[in-house]
Amino acid sequence: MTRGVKTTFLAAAFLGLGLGGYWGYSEACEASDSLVSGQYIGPTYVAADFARVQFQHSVTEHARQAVMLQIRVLEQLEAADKDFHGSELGLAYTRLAMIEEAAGRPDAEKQALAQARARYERFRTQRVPSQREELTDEKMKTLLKRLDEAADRFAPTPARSTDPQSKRDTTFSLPSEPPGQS
Amino acid sequence: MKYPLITGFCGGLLIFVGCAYLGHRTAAAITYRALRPLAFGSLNKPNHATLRADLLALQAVEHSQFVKDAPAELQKTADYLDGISSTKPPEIRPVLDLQIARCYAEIARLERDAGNAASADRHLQRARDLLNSLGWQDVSSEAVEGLTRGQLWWKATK
Repeated sequence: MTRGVKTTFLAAAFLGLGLGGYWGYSEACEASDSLVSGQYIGPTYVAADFARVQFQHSVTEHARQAVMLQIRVLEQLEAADKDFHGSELGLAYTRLAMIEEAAGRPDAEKQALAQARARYERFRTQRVPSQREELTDEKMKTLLKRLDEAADRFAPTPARSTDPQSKRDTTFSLPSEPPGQS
Repeated sequence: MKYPLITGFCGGLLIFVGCAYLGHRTAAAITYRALRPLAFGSLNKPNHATLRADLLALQAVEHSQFVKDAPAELQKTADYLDGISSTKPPEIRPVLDLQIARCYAEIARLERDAGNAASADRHLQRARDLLNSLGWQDVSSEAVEGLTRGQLWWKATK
């Protein structure tokens, strides 16, 4: 092998390593940036799913604890990271209101609905400022029920008993159609 | 050497491509490990410690939903979640418990399909015990099986 060929091979190796290294570095930085921007999606989804499943299956106290965990995580994230917007907080507070309603605590229900409305309004102002439709309590609850139904269709769970004689302390039955719609 | 120019060019090209590939893979792996994009690095203040721990626990649950649909893998996942559960604050433990119950419910289904009724019953009972502790009102076989359907749908699409 001549000296010239050896030099060519060595230069090709250095050039390849350098360019490949730079390419790999910039690609990893880009992937990392996009992952950082979506890093909260998975954990917040798990918290929301936990709240939904507990809401559908467990007794009031456990359902409340589950939704409170979701609310706490979302609120802490909002406070800790300016780039995070807890748009799901409206739904979480609506769920809390429904739990309080089922538990027979109207004051706590009202409080939770007020929080939910404030969250929805904030989200609406930020994302769809042109929308002026009034947000009633029933609309918020119907929205949550519809989303839960959609999640159930994706991952169906057996329907809860709606038997009034049932010993269960809470029953969240989903209406076949939301109010005002046929 | 018969054709030094051609050998030099072709060999150099091969070495260049090989080294570029190697450099790319190595640099990407090192950079990714150094940046740790999914470790919630932006939550670096002392008062974020609890939140970060909660998020990591929730992330562990998320990752555990994508394990291979095999009893051994699911058991390993359940054991792992059970192991980290004791180190987590009490508020986050029910989330881990629900996922462990999902793992047991799925193992029970797989064991039943494989004709291992005793093992299926044992795992179903474990799932039921966990669901009872989570305040579930109905821990019938149907309700427990319903827990795993979302994951099965995801796995079926793979």
